[in-house]
Amino acid sequence: MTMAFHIFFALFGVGIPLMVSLAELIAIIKKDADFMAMAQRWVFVMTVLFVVGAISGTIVSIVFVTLLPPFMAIVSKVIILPFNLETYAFFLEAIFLGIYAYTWNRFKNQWLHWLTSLPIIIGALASAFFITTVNAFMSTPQGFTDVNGVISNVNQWTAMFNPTTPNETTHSILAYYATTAFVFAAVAAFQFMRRRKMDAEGYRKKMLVFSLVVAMVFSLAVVISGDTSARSIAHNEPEKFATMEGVMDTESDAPLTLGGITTPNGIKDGLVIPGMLSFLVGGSRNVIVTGLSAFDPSTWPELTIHYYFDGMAIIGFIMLGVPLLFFFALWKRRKRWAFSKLAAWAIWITGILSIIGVELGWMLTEEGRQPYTIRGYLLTANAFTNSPVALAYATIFPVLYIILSIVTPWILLAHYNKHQLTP
Amino acid sequence: MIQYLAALPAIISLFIYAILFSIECGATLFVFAPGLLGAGEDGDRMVRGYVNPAWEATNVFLIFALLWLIAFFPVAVPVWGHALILPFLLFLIIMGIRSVGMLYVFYKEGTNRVIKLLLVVASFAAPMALAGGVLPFFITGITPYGATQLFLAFHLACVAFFATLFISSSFFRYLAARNKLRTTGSLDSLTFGAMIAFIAIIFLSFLAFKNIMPRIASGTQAYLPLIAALAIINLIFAPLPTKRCSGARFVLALALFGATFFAIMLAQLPYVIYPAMTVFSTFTDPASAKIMLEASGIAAIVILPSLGLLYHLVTTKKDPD
Repeated sequence: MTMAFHIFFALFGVGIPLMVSLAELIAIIKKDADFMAMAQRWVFVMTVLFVVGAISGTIVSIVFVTLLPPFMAIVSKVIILPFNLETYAFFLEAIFLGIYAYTWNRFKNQWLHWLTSLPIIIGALASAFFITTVNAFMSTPQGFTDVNGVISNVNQWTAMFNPTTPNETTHSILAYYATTAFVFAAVAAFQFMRRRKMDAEGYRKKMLVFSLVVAMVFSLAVVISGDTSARSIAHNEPEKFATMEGVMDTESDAPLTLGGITTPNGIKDGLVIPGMLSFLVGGSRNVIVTGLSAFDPSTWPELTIHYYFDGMAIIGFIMLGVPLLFFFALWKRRKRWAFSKLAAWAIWITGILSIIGVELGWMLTEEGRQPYTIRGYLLTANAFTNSPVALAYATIFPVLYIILSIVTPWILLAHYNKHQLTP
Repeated sequence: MIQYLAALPAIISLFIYAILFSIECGATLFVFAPGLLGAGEDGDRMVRGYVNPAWEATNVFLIFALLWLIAFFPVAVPVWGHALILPFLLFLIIMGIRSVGMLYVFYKEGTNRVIKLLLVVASFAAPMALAGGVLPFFITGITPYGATQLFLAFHLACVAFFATLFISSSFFRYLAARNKLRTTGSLDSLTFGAMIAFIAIIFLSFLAFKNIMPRIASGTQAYLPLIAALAIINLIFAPLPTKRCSGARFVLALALFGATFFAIMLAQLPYVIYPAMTVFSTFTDPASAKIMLEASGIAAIVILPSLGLLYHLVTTKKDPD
């Protein structure tokens, strides 16, 4: 729960600095006042979400120590380095956020101001990368020897750069960028949906087109990296792959099953494409895919991850398809279609779906690792504290998160209502 | 020896956190009761200008200290986790309330007096919860439920309260003078009162330690003359004209707080949890320690000049460079 909430704010913490920096870059190159206004207005969102992300980040770090002592006992010995590095990356981001947000008029040369946005992007990117390496380690732990519970021969770099790291970090960070861009596009689309006599229409059209360009580029990258990531899971975590694809028996010419209902005996009533899964995994229908029956049932992940995977994949393709259709309409000189109410609705809904997609990806990663917290090494049942106070954490923090989830958009809306765009 | 040195960055980080957090917490009081500053809208703008843009980045220092301790003394982690679950719960609840209040007051620029008051209460309760809830465990080694531990918890919470008030009022008096704002006598009285209370309570602490915690008392013995000297200098400087000496007085306030803070922290060493665990018995393996120190060294090369740039831009002229 804590991480599911934190990831919601963290994804914007990674994505918004890039959007702001790109907007200012275009403003400088094209001498465009609308893009400059965009960058300046978005900085407020960046600072507020940075602050909320820092609050939930503080909660996460303390919750790890207090609620998961057995887990932290291993992490602190084997893979504490990325946590340490993440703190420095966050420091860098915080310092330059302060510089960037409050020095718009301090530089005669605007390029110098734009340069100060780069460490924010790097800091946010590095923070996400380092933390995701820990999550990757939890899926494919390595870099230590365990003899009767005594950990030795620790190599923090090996633990950090485990087989899951390249794909998980790439796929998740690209998804954060795509989602942020889509949410910005959805905000612009919302104005078109209302279809009132709109102020600053040029600004909003530029915001929509710019956000959709970024969203399209990163959505394409997300789809490609998603394919690579799935193949990596098939290789490194075959039980997770078998569960998310609903493969019960080890076989070649394995079918791809879309949708359906998961049962302990396989997926029922799904759309089956013969041989497709073997082809996707290894480029040939002869490739053997390991089925779930090859594993001890007590180590099977949650069967529901099939839904999460399908949902995430469908959302990924929608995120790619919607901007493609939008730009196809523009290319065919059908501006009326591109900026229609229907298109605005589609973009707005995709913006919401993109956030759901990130959450589904997170749930797929976590539930797909069950019953382990550290795969094959530490069972989730043994990772938690047995203190009765844990119940208080489980009760109080959801309430706090709900409050923050209400207060944050309220503050953003109040700010932008107070500081309206002038035509 | 390396084990002692490894504990120092965490202690220094906690010290920086204590100062920055005190200033932030105190800022809420001046927004709630602007009459204490007496500088009107300019004073309010000054306080808000200090707190924004990224006040919660202050927590990086707390997280850094926590992670540093976890990284270098991993054997103690499960014990800390089990023992601190309740004090940290209390701290996080207060921090949650405070965070919502900070967003409302400093970003939405809300004016509701009740929320502002709640923010002040939560802001002063947060350092009290941290000092009174968490520190006693490190010092006494057991969850503070006994009479001695409860006394210690209450006492440290009081120290945190007056330290917060003393540091924040000294800082804003300095900042007001620097910005050439005319403040009222209320701010001088508040700073002076907080200083007297802080000095009184730290000397009461040392008297109390002598009876109930001889280990800490003997450990802090060597620092007492320095603390006493700094207390006297602070008292001598207090009646001098505000504007001329505000910077020096703020530095003196930090010095007094720092001497007290480091005296107690260093007296705690070599224990990370008294009496069961020391920095030696809980230390990480040498290879991990080496990697961590190297990474921190490289990070310092990037971060320290960046901090310098931030300080330069915030404190120098406002005309375009």
